[in-house]
Amino acid sequence: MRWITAILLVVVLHGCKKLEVDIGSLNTNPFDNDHTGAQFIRVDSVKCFPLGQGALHQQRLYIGLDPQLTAENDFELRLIELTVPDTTVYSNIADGATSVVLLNQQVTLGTEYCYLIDLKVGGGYLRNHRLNHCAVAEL
Amino acid sequence: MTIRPLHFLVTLVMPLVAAAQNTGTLRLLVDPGHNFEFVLDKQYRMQQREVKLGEGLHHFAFWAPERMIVDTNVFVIADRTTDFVLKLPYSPEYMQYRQELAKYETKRRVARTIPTVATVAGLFWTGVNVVKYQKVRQDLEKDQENYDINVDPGSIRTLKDQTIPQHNEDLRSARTGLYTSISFTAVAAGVTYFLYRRSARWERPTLNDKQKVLFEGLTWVPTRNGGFFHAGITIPLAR
Repeated sequence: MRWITAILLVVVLHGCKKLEVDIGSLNTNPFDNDHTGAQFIRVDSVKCFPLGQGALHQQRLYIGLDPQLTAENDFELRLIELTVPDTTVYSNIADGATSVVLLNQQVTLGTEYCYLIDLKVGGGYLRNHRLNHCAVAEL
Repeated sequence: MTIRPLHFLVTLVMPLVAAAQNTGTLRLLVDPGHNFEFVLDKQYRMQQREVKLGEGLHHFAFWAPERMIVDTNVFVIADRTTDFVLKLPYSPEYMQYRQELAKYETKRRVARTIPTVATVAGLFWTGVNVVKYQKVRQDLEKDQENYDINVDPGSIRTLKDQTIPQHNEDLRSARTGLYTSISFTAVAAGVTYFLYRRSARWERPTLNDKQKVLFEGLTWVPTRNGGFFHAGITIPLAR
């Protein structure tokens, strides 16, 4: 009788432990859309360069890449230009690259251009790594 | 003066007459065979398998524990060994006692066996549920590990939206099953304990051997050193 009681007590205590995984607090993986930590991509700088002899200029966005991103996966970047709506996808990014340059081919000096920069890894875009950046085109 | 020679003559002749009386041997083949007793000629209580008796009709009252008394007359033939075969029937009290004892033992066996089997089954069931619970726990631990190392957002989404919730549900279900089996086992163990204690106090039927009381009336028991009177007395102690 005593050993039965002991066995049952042990089993009850064993079963009492809260072992369900709390999905709400599951956000430590940077590839998780719910991740709240540092982003894989960042805007290091934005510069403008003249295109030939005319008034046309090119705006370059220098995007820094987290080494963890380039080490783990194939990925692509999508540049969505909001001021003059346009979308460009950058998929052939060299393995191990630490930065990438995104281009807006035609800008007018003195005008502010706003961009959304998305990171796509595997089958979907990582919403939490989206960058929203605006910059005035100037030399 | 005339009586004295006659008395002397009788004293001298009687042993010779007695010695000259013809005797026969009676071999008693009585079922149950090992522990029967008998009263010979309503006087002598004996317990042996062979008797030498004078020729003629003799009365026997046979008895053995749990059996009926059987009264019978046997004619002993001189200079011959005769087999006397008798099966003592069981007494009604003993038959009733056997029935009550069987009923008592069946009741006690049922009262002890069923909850014991239920307890063992409960323990087995609990064991199965513990294994099931452990497996779901391991699945969740694997899910957690998978989450930590996964680099595919699509897989992570599937993990968080489908796999982990399903395993969480499985864990809750396994826990409910585990608690149910534990409760069942605890109740069964309690009932087993209670019924063992209770059935231990149940009064076991006893044999009231009335035939023995009848048989053990006042009788003379001959022995090598003389013999003694044997008297039986019954004091009913049960209220």
